[in-house]
Amino acid sequence: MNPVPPKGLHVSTPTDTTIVLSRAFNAPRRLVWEAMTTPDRMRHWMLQPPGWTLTICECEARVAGSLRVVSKNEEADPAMSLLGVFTEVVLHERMVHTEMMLLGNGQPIGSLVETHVFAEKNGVTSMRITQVYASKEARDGAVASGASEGMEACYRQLDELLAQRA
Amino acid sequence: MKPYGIINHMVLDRSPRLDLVFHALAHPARRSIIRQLSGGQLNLSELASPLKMTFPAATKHVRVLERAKLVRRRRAGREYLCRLHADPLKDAADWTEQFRKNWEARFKALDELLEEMKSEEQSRSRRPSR
Repeated sequence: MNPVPPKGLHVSTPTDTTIVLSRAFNAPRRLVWEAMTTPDRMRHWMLQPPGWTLTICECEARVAGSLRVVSKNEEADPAMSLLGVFTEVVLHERMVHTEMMLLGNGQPIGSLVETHVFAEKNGVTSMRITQVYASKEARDGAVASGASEGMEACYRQLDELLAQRA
Repeated sequence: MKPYGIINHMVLDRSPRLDLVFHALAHPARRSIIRQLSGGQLNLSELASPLKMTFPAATKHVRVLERAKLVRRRRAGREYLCRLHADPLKDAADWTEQFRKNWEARFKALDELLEEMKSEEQSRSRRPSR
């Protein structure tokens, strides 16, 4: 029997420099792990903000392995990269990696440490991601960037609607 | 009509200050500036270069963001350093809600992928390799 599908994502900010994301998945954790660490699988779910396309996706989930995700925008920045290194890996259970965001010109604009913890019960995996930013400003910046992306989506819809009416 | 949720919400309690925030966010270049500043402070030329626009044009956009109090500018030697000031956005919308929605969209896609992976596994175990 399939368990009841889990509730959606919960986001909290327990300290000034952290964001915690909790989410359950209706699948065993080895599959969740595979989906989150295999580039061919990652491409299916790592949706990009409006106007951005994922161009490079590399992930080696082992200690000292690297993480590289590059996305492109045809309008503004030539590219945006996320670069990271795994510092701790316990297969199917826990992974910790650094993450640095770089603009197209190679300029770093922020870094964080991300810890993923997976627990499985009755075929359901509970995942907890803890993002630790260097400062409160950096943490707020990450959330604000999301807020402005949301606005972007709203305005795009509005543009389309207005274009249809014109 | 879901995508208009934030806009509806904001139109209902419109204040002069929110008008400025709204106006500031209503241009792709200015939203791009916010995204660039989300990781830390940058000077005006650093902000202008990826925007494919002239330095004065970029400066004008920064001024609009400054008026909405979304960006603060301070002189550092011969340059102006710009820094994101996120508080007006906190007023404008539920602070973490959009961040949550962005991630939830990804995780919904991940749910679908996991269902595919589960059925791949099931069909493999039903039909063992010959």
